[in-house]
Amino acid sequence: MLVSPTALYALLLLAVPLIAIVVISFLTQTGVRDFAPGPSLVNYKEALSDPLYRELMLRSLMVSGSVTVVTVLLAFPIAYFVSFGVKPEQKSLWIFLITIPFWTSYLIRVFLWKVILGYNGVLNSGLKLVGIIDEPLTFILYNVNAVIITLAHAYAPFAILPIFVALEKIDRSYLEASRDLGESRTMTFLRVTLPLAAPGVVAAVLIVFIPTIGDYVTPKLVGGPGGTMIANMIQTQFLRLNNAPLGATLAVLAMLIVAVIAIVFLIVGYRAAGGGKKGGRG
Amino acid sequence: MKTLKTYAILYLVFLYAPIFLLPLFAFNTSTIIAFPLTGFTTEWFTALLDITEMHSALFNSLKIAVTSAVLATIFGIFGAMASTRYHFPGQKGIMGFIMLPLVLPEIIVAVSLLVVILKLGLSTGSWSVIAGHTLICTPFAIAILNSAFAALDPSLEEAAYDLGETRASTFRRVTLPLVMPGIVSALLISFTISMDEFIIAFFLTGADPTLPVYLFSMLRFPKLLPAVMALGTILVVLSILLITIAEIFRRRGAKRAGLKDTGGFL
Amino acid sequence: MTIKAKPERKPLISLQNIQKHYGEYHALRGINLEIGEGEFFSLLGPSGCGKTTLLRTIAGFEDIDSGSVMLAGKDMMGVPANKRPTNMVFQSYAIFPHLTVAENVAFGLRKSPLSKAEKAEAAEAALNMVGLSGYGNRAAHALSGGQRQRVALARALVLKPKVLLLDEPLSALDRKMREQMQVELIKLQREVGITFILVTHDQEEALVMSDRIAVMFEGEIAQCDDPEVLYRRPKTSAWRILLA
Repeated sequence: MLVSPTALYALLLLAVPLIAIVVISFLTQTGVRDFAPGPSLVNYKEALSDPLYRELMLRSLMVSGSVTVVTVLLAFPIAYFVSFGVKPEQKSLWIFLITIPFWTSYLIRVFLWKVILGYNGVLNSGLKLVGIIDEPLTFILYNVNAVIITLAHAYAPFAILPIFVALEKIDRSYLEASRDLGESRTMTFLRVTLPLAAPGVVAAVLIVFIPTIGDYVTPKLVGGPGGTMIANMIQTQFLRLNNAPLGATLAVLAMLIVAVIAIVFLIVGYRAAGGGKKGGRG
Repeated sequence: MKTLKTYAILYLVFLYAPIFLLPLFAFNTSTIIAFPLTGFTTEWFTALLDITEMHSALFNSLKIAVTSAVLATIFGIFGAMASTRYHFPGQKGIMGFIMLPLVLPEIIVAVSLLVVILKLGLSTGSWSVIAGHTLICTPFAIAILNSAFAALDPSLEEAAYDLGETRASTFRRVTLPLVMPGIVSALLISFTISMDEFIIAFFLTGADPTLPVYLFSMLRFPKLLPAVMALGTILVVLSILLITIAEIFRRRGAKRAGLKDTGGFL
Repeated sequence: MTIKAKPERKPLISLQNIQKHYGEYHALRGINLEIGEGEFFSLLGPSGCGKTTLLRTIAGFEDIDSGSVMLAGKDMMGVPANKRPTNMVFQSYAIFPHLTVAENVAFGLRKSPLSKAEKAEAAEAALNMVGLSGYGNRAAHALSGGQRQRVALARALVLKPKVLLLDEPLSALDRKMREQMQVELIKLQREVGITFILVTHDQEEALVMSDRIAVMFEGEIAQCDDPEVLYRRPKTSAWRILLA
């Protein structure tokens, strides 16, 4: 079977490690590479009871949630513009331009935001130069705000693409029909375009929410002590505190929470899109 | 629509603004990344030539990126052929699983691979980074090659067969040339992803860091920041170049097959 | 069903009791047919009647559950499509977009012992025969539908098959082109002299071009006769199909 090499690779390098992570979360680590025998729930107890981890998890959810809302809201008009306001032969050029930044190094882009938002950074020095402010702004770096801004910038293309695809799939004659039946442009948008674009919005939400929760680089570089997220703690446990099982536990819990939220959202989103009854040509 | 267009342009400016800072400050004489600009210089670029550890990191990254790109593209060919030509039981599930790394946070991938490697008593090295990068690049390769194979009229292969070719020579004379643009595109995309990737490399690298990992270590030294800007400029220009070439190939492939352009590897 | 009688021609193709299932679906229910040398034969019927399946069975693209396919006296069991003395013109024409017209036509000559010059000559002659002489250097993807069809014909005929199979060759053309091509196909077949088997759902087309027509319905042959006989004295079942 043709798919077997690929499937095998995915099985070995994705399924097995994921299972291993779950397994390890039930162990305890005694030395650099030694694990005490026998499963135990010690890690889960610690992860769930220690307020530090709970706070981190909640903060991560809050940051991800904010990023998702901001990104998707800002992305929709762009997707709409390219789908409805751009000539067909130029559409792929716009999409290409929008996605180019995505292909550059993520690390560099985050670093650039650190440079921009810094106390003596580009934004502050620029605003000072122009005379808008006298003292540098301090609320923009080394906290959650910086993390949100940076992540929203990095994940913008992720949100635009699924919405664009969904909008493209909408048969334009539906919109013409709505206008023909007497609806205004705004009402057509609300009653026809938006519901038909809903699957794209749902996809955009998931595509932004899920990876951002597990982001490491951004909180590390621009988050400061108050802006760290769950991935930073996972890394700490693994590489600095030599407590891989606890790190694994946090990873498993994070994945579970995200999975639950994603499923709930999918169900809600599916209902909002009309349960597939009046869908587009999706 | 006029307002939307203004919004779109502003949005693009916002998207590109940080990146434009790179060349702006890479040629700036000041060691502090801030306004006002102080003067023009190329010293930061020439300084890069002296940092030998960076050179070996670069070489390491190239090695890893080329290997990962080739492996991911090969896996991608198999995966795309399987999903566009055949129907087998559990197809949706298997394909969905293979594409999973697209939505998993990279740290989960990195950490779980690390766990397995530790458990097996192995030590990390370039091979583990290659393994991880191949894993996350394959879904991209599949996505690109899926559209390349789907655009291929199956009767073309049947016609070749009818005219006397074997399955193997059909693949060589008809299938391969027609999906070649997709293959090139997949190679370039995977290469770019691997070159830029940080987290998995961070967790799974051995004694020799990759370029992004080395870059990360440079960030701790304020004196090196301008050099980082210079390096960043080079990397970003290269990435954009590679992606543009990949896009040209993708369009050429679509044109050959006589299709309309739908805008990217969607 | 009894074997369909053949005319004064030597039998070239003999199909005996062909049965084929697609899973539960019974696609061919016992086809018995003989087609003669040099005959222009049509398989006519609505979509889903099995005519394309039957064509592809002769070509070697479909396996059969039971029955036999004989071509020029040889049993085609186990003979794959690329080794049969048949060539097919596909419904989509299947012109290789990455090759020129001449390269398309000469595609199947790769393994032939002819020299490069001889192959080029043969390709040019084939293009001439279909009215496209001088088109050799054109890029394949820049052709019109009618031109593509002719290239597909040339490409198949240059290999001098014993049977030319045509899968709804005119359905993608507009009316005027279709009428023109009908005439040209008849002329071509007379000129080349080999057996043509054409699949179509258009009864007018079949009546105009064929020496004999097999009207198919739900996997069976309802009637097989000359166009004249079919038109004037159709069997009831065939009449129903023709009227549809």
